[in-house]
Amino acid sequence: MELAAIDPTVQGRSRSELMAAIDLSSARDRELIRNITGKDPEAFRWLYRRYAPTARALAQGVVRQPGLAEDIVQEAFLAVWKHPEAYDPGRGSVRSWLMSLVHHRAVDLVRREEAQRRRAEEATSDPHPGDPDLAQTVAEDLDLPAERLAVRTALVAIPPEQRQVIELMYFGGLSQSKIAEKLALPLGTVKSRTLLGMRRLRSALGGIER
Amino acid sequence: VTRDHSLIEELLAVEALDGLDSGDREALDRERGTHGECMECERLEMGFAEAAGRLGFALDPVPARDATADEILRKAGALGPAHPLTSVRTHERRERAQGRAMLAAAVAVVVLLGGIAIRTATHGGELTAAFSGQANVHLAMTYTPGESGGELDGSGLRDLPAGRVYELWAIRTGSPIRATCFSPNKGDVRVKLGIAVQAGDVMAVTVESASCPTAPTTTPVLSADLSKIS
Repeated sequence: MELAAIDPTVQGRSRSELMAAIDLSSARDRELIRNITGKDPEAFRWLYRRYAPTARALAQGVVRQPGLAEDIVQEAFLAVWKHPEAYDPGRGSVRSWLMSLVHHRAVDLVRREEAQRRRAEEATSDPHPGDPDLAQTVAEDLDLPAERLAVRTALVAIPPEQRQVIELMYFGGLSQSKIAEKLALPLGTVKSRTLLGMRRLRSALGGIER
Repeated sequence: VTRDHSLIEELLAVEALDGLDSGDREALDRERGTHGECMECERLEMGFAEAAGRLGFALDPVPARDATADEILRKAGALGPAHPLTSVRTHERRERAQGRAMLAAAVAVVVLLGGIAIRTATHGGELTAAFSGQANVHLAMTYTPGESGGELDGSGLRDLPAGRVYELWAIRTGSPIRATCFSPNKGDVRVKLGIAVQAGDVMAVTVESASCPTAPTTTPVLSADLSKIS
């Protein structure tokens, strides 16, 4: 995966300003989950509007098919509506929890034979076909560029060989044994690179995770 | 006895990325059983899970239809069947509900920005409040409490996508009151307020559709607490 350029709209912001922006949105996210627990459809709509574009990007990045990605995102948000109590504020941020719901589903799907066959077929065609129903622009809350900057900065700071295994695993949906096979590396090397890269990532994001 | 966490840490790092093979999963289950109630394991698991969960934000977002949210709610039985047109009354109720929810967000903004200096100043009978929340944005409101004719003046504001505008709100006794909508010209703005602001108002700027809704629908990006000005 190629990382997109760091968002110029948030360059030049101080770390404290980034933290403030992320803090604000994290507090609001937790409030939305509380309201969804009370079965407030409007809170659900807000959460969806806020995170569906990122969830779609993640699902689409893993499964490589817009239609399947849409299904995965819908499934994940349906799970949020049905079981918002599954979110434990003591264990991390709403956004991270939400993306993990999407990612688990995307990886499950991509590892099934049928999905792999579809990916192979699609790899020979346009990998990002346009969707005529998706004419809307992505108008994000202005704190999300700060989050993107933080994550992209953390990712590019990881040594390339460690970043490569993390990207293949997370965005490619490959297991560590498949990565070892693909890169012709000993499994132990893949494991150690993953661990070192994840330690760095956790450390880099640790100061601003909420 | 200090336990060795190296194996479980390695497995948890991979699990957070959904990269375990089935054999590794069994190994992780065994390790978890061995460690039992383990604070360090919890800490490692949460740290890796949080970092992995946020990786998705490295990607550029892909547009999603707002209407899908209602389709999901219908699938869950939380909404009735779709209607081609939403009545004005329903729309107004929705906007009021949004306004109530936004109030909490706006208050959170001011509370959380408490650590960041909210610059204020007075000039004779007229007061000036500076907004905080975004770097390199200078936005100030000159006003006399209780009187109309206040003015918003600023520079460095980000251009918004087509169909979006900034909207200024006064949050007063639990309700957001629309003060004005504006679109910056090369980052600059100078606009008269449509209301008379009060000394205790919290002012908040949100990004809204060009129709200038009657209640905020997004998180405030700039704010100023007028109660701190004397």
